[in-house]
Amino acid sequence: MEPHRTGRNEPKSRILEPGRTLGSYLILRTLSVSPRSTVHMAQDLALDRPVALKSAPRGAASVVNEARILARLNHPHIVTLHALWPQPQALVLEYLVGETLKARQERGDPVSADALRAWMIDSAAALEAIHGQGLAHGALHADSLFLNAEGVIKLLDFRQSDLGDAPATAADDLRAMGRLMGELAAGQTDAALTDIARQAAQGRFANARALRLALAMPAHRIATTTQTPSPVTRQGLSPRMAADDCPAPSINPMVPVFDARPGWAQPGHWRKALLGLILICSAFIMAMDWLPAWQPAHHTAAPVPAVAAAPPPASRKAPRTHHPAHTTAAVRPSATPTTTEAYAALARAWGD
Amino acid sequence: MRHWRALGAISLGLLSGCVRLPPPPGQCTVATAWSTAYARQRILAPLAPQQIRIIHYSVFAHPARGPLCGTITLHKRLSVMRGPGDLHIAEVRDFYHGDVLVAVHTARIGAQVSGSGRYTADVTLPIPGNAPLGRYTVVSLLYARWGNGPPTRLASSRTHFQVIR
Repeated sequence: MEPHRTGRNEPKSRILEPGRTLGSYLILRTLSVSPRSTVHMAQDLALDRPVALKSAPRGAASVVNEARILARLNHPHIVTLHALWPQPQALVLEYLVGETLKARQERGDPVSADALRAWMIDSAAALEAIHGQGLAHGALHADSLFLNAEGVIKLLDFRQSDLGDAPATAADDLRAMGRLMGELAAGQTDAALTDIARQAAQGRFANARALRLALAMPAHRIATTTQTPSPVTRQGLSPRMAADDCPAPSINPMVPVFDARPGWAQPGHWRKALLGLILICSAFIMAMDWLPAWQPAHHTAAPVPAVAAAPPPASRKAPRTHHPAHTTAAVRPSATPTTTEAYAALARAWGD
Repeated sequence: MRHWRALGAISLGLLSGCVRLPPPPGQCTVATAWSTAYARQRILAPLAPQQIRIIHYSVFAHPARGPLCGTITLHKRLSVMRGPGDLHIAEVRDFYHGDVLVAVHTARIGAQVSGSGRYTADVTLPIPGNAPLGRYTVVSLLYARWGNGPPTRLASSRTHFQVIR
């Protein structure tokens, strides 16, 4: 069945097919078709270079999401985004020559342990860059790791999250990478790599950097280590890692903070927002109760003006039992000082 | 996650006003009673000069219970028929806690009750934070005097309210 199915009333202009042009991009052929995306090879006639056009059925919002993720990343092991074509929505990506690790795995060619370790180091470096931006890949598997003609790993196909999906986390990526390493290392004699894969699948690595350093350690040191090899010395690293040729995550100052965008908050941030709301409400309630300035307006209004000449209250009597001192705010002689103060306060508040 | 649920419940309680922090002692005793003037709601027929007749006079407290640092409102209703002349009317309000007279307030309302009619007025009483708890009685008395003549008690009313914590 045609996965990139269109409706009967789908306008022809929305369909990407070989021979059609999108601006300066001339679509040459279809590279891959999957239920979630279709990738075409195209030629950028303006810049005279090949590009890959990736589109989703009916221009799903996931294309925009993936474009926003890729736009924040600039890493040698992550596929480069050239542009986002608006209508129909398509990602203009760098054109890669090679195959995915899944295709290579299905082809059955033997892979040396050193090559596999180098691929995983590159993948971990790419994950480190992604996580450094507060992002996560979310769909790491053998089909999303592309091995180009130069033997360099490129990370593809970020998760196209649907509405309602829980956002992927860095821990999910690390566990997925552990499972992937376990699949690829099946049949290998490198026990250390298998052990790292098992630990990664169990979530033993705190971050991608720890995983990358563990992969970069010599095999004899890994074999004797049962825990995460966090205290790694520079002498224990391979020459490649000692040179630290894995660049740090790039930060584009022109792009706003990722979790400040609506709908892109990291998990757990709503807790901080709730805690802040509670603190603000508590402070407001305490201020209402403690600050006299927050009393209702009629409390701070002008007191009742005194009457110039009150009639003599000679005939006034107490409601039930007559009290002799009723012409002033009198108190009992036996009243305690506290009661006296309280009655004085009442006289000030209610009396003349 | 359990503590986050508890935090959410506390926040909802605070927001809904279910939780009220106790007032600090002695922090709300500065306010004084505030009274509105008598406002005529209905006009009644006038009487002959130098004559006055009180048809109705009542004072009642609402709500009947007020917390410390809260307020109690005294609603006053007065129906009076009077004639023209130099009439002085004084309203004396006595506050009793038990049998102890704790406060007296006197107000001249002759200018407010300038003609025959039915009048209403409100008095807002702030309750000090250190007020003794218990039942309070308000006795309100109306005195009138024509010119420089002797004062005469016209009417009286009584109401109760309770100060609670």
